[in-house]
Amino acid sequence: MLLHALGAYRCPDKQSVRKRLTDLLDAHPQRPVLLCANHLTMIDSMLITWFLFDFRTLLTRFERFPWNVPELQNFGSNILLRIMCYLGKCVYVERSGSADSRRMSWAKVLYLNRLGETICIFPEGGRSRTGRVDREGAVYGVGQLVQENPETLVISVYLRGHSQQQYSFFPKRGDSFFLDFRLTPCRAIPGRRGQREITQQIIEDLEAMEQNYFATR
Amino acid sequence: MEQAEIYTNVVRIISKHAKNEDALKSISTDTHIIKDLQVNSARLVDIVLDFEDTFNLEISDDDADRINTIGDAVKLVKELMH
Repeated sequence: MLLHALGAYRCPDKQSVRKRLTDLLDAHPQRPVLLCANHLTMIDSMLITWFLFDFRTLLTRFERFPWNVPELQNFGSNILLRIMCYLGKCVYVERSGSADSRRMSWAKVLYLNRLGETICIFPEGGRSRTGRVDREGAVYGVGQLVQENPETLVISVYLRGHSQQQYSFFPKRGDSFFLDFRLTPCRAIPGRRGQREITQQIIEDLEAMEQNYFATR
Repeated sequence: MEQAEIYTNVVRIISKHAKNEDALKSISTDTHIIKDLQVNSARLVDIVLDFEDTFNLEISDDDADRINTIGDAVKLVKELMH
């Protein structure tokens, strides 16, 4: 409702996508969920939550309310963003921080994953500078998470405002969104090489949904 | 493999991911991979995997975390090869 009032963002396919997602999640009870989304604006995770889950689900199935993993630099200096992150289930990371700091953040994420929580993550590592799924920017932490818990249900999510050309802070006011998702059946391959391969499987699904989007425009 | 050859290969592998062309021109063992060459930290995994393939060795996570400069990488590869 807040988002609707702020920007009047809308997703015409929201109901059918929600139905598909609910069916998928109900078919895989007890499995932690990892939403792996493309990344173009600073409020993508809010929009994904808003479009994928109805308000009732967020209240009654709180484990489906996705945790987010924002970069501290992106919100740490803004009190409003800090409050929103505090309220919105966030585990912050410092991408250029120490190895210990990054390890601690990942330990929290892994813990939440093992609890069966839903986590929303951006495998591209940041907003795509090209405006398209950025394979070059891919970070392999997502692969690490799947390795740590192969029970994780990996769902690749593609969200894009129809007016979105490049990356931006906010989507264009009043924009209408395309939303799609796929279950990505990741093979849990061990080692660093495995982390890369798992991440690439997800990136490939995001690219495939992006191609579908542009092919049907 | 001699140290000079290790250095050449390390620089070749890391250069592929460097965004700072000026820093590449004055590269040395003291050059910091992330701060000077502006390599995306996410690409460090690719660099370590390239090291493993090129020098036919295995690098642990702890060892990988010790790589900050070109010199660190050369030293680590040399240690693991001998």
